[in-house]
Amino acid sequence: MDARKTREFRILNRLPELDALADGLREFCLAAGMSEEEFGDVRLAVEEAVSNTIRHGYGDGNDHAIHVRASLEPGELQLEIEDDARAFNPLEAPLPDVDLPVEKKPEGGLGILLLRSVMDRLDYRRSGGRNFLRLARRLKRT
Amino acid sequence: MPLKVTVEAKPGGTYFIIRPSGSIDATTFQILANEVESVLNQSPTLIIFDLDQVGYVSSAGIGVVLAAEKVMKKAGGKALLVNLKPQIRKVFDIVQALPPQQLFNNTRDLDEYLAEMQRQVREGPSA
Repeated sequence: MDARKTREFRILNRLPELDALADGLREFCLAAGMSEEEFGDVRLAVEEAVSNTIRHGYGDGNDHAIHVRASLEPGELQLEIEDDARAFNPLEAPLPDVDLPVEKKPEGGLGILLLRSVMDRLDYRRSGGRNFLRLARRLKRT
Repeated sequence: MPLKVTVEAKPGGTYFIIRPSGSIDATTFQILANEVESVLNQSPTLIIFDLDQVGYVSSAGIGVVLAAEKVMKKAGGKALLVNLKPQIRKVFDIVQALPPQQLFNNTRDLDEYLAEMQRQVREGPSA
């Protein structure tokens, strides 16, 4: 396996762990020739998905591992996020109505909207009590 | 990346510029939220978020700005954003956190807007 084209990150279900995840993803993406803009979308999508899992996915107070796998494929970056949190399919989550006037605009659900907006493809499955969320972002060149 | 926030109060205390520096994300947004709360407690008529030194914002950061705008609007004021990098602008545009006329890509555009606001206060709205 070419380490320049695939990488796995493992973090615990704590928000401060997102910093190390972002640093690792940045290093991987830029080494792969991706632009800062492309990395920005990747970071946003992964952080929205993982932070949502950390904040809402567990109720036992225990440590849980979250795995993020990045894979550089021809023309796109693919990511897989695996966790053992409660089942949650972000593709079925209702999106906030952003057309509402500001006083009625919801403050929740914006992360899912961002996740779905900046990625080109998303796929979710639940298997063996675990969530598997796959994301793909087309790249200008790799 | 850690987040630092500075706040500049303009003369009279009705107008504040909040300058975050770093990433506004799930781990840092509370730092900004605390500064914004302190400013809102002073009942300003205008809050300007200068995002020149912000390289990344997630939904957590947008939530802080949106919450501030709700409080400001209820009190007859508003929040403005200035110096948005393209990636930051894109995020605010997706969630439509603020009306587009409250987002300024650079200080010159903001200054023109503020000058027009001041002119309207002095002379009344244009016919």
